[in-house]
Amino acid sequence: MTSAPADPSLAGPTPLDTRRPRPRTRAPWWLWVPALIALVPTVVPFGFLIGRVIGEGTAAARIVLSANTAYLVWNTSWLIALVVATTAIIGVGAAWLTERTDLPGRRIWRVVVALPLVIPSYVVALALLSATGPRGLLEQTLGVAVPSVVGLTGAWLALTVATYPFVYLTTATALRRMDPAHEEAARGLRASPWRVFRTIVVPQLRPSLGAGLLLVALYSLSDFGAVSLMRFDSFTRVVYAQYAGRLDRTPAAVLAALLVLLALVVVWAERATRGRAAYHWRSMPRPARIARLTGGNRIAALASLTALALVALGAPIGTLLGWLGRGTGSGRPFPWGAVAGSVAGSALAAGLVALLALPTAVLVTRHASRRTAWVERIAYTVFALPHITVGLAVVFFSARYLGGLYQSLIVLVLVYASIFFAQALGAARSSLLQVSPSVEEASRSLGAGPISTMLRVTAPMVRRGLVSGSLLVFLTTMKELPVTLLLRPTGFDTLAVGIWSSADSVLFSRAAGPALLLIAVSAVPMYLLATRER
Amino acid sequence: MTDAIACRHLSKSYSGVVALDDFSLRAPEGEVTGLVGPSGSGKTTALRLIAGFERPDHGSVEVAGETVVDESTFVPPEQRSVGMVFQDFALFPHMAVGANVAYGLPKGAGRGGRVADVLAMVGLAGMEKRMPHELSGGEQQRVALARALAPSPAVELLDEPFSNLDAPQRERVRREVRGILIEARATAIFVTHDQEEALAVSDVLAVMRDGRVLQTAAPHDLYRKPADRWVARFLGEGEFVAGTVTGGIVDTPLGRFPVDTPLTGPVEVLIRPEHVRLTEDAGGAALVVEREFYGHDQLVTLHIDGGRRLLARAGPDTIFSPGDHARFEITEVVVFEAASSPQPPAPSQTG
Repeated sequence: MTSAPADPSLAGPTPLDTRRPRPRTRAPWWLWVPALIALVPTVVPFGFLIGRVIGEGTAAARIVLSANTAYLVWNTSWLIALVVATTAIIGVGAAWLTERTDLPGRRIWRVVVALPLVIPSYVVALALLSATGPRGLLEQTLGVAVPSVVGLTGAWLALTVATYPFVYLTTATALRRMDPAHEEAARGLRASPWRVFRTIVVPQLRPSLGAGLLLVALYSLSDFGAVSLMRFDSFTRVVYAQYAGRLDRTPAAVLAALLVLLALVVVWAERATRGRAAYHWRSMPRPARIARLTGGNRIAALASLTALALVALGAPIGTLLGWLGRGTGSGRPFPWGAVAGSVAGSALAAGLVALLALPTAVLVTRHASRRTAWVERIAYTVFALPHITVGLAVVFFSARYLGGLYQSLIVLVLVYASIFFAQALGAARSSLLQVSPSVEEASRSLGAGPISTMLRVTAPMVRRGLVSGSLLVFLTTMKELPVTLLLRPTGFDTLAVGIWSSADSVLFSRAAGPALLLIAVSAVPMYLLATRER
Repeated sequence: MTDAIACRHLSKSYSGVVALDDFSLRAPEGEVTGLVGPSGSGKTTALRLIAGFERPDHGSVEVAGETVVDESTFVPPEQRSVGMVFQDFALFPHMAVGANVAYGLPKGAGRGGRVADVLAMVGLAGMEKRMPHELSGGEQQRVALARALAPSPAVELLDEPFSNLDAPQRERVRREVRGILIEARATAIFVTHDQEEALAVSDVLAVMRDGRVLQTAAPHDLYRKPADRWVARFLGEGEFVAGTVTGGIVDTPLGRFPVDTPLTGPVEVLIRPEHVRLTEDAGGAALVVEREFYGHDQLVTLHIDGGRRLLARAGPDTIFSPGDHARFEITEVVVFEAASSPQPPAPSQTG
């Protein structure tokens, strides 16, 4: 028996070389159906909106070129710039403290600092509004006159609190994965700690920081709740006002389309500043060097994080609790209808998304092609579109073509599912990529058809990703405001709409309960997601 | 003997790259047919076409006499009587061993009994309740085999079934699997890039290169009478020298040897290391330049006449060290048409 290998240049792959890319097969036609159900409800109306705006021709051009539009662009850009700058400082600073220093209680701080993610921007705005100004909670309880926080200042504060966790989370992840060898090399070349931070750490953080800030900028651009409560004339508020207050809907349509253009500019700006260097992250890096905080620095660090927690978590929740305490005597019934509406709408959307995401994830991974890549691209684009634009597009389209379905629960749930589809698709796709396709092929060769294989083999294996994705959809649908406002059937109430309308009419004690409940309900999936990831 | 599988003129390319080119193969019932070739030679593509995971561009496949794919037919994998054992085993991670094995069986009373029988056959009796991740690699392999055998398909396809096992397990599992296949009287086609494994496991072996079958024969015949230089080099070590055949004798710079060939005139002569007998002799014509010791034997690289290379396999008892001289005797040679195509790659230096 021979034991020496024959000519090694003729030998095949090494035993571990089992993951060569598999040739893709064409998807059966029916696998496209779920993807279409998920995307058509927003893509077609959006196309209709753009078509309509272009069709307006000179009328549209007049609106675009008006002084009012310039004012809106200026306001909105200014707001975005302020929020981006503030969240960058808070996010990077907090990430540095919790990841790279020996701050006492770092594990708890990591949770506390990220927690404001569960508070929607309009709830922060509501808390701010109701705490300050004449008849505000502060004046009522302490007897001091505090000037109202409204307009730009209010919108800026509310959005900063609601969005800095995006920057914090992306930056903290990057700091955790960064290879400490670069910093050590710089220290070895006698660079001071500050120079190392500036010249080594910050440039390596740039991609993640950019991604976090992009989220912040898109969020600030698309946010409707906080700016409208703060009565700050940014794009979204004026689009809604134009739609609600005028018979001629052309201005609303034109401005909504322009808003999308601004979103594209933001995305492009982030791409353009990305730089060309390639950064490699280690999958399992050594832990980085931890800076030791001494004396005054330690106290300053603890004080700043405590202040952040007080402003971002303590103040909004405290204010709402304060109102809740005062509101009990007013005898108004708790809005159970809104709770039911929120839960029903979100649960239906999350369920529908889960049903659609599984086959679509199979489509885009197991039958990857140029055409399926478009499914993902479109899903992410829809996800990034300002909701007020999507909502208006659907209103215009369904009022024109769908007649009776306009403002029905079916349309609302379909649009929810479509907007948030990317979240579940992403989660399902990444867990499907970890499963070898041979497992599904094994099922096929054992006599199970494609649908049976999907249900009996694929679904159980990607269950975690699918459940996480649906939870995320449930959470975001719960907080959704502009689409709900525009598309909800008559009599259909949600917590978000309840908060928005009672704050609008300065009935703070009525809004406090729903707002707290919304925070609590949002915290549950958040908690589940966080514990699952470990 | 009937054929369990008959592939005729299969071809398949992926975006212009030819993976399989006029591939024909018959797998006789009850035998293990091996498909061996370097990576990229199309072996796995051939299996995937037979299983129905992909469609050929041209050609046809018959399973147990029934056409499952040709220009106008395509039977999906679940309706072909074909079992598959995957390289990564592909056990369903969320199902216990019993459920994995039962997956391909029709629902009914006999199901549990069949699962128990098949598990007993692969030596895993009573393991129904275990989860796949609780098993060793070799056990997972046997579950995968049991799962494929359970519905008694017309043919089992095994795709690099041993490559995910570590070396010590490999030879043992290989013997076990061959034993199980024989006991189950199963027909199997098995794919490997490892020529030693292919020679050891197959009843019939097809050597593939660049999407084509170069030669199909019993392992012994393939090794002794390779159709061309490439097949000869792929299946084992050896050195080529030029020679001339006249009247059943080949004349080479290393001596004259009797050969059984219809060829006459200039030929190429392959000398396998196991056909070079080496004896210690300080005055011998061969200079030892290198030695790889394997335990049960050793492969010795020799220089003859101050330059010509020759490989010899010797028993483990005599020590041949670089610089030693030895006497050699060639017991057998294989001849090929001179410069027969395709050219084999340049002989690699050992070590």
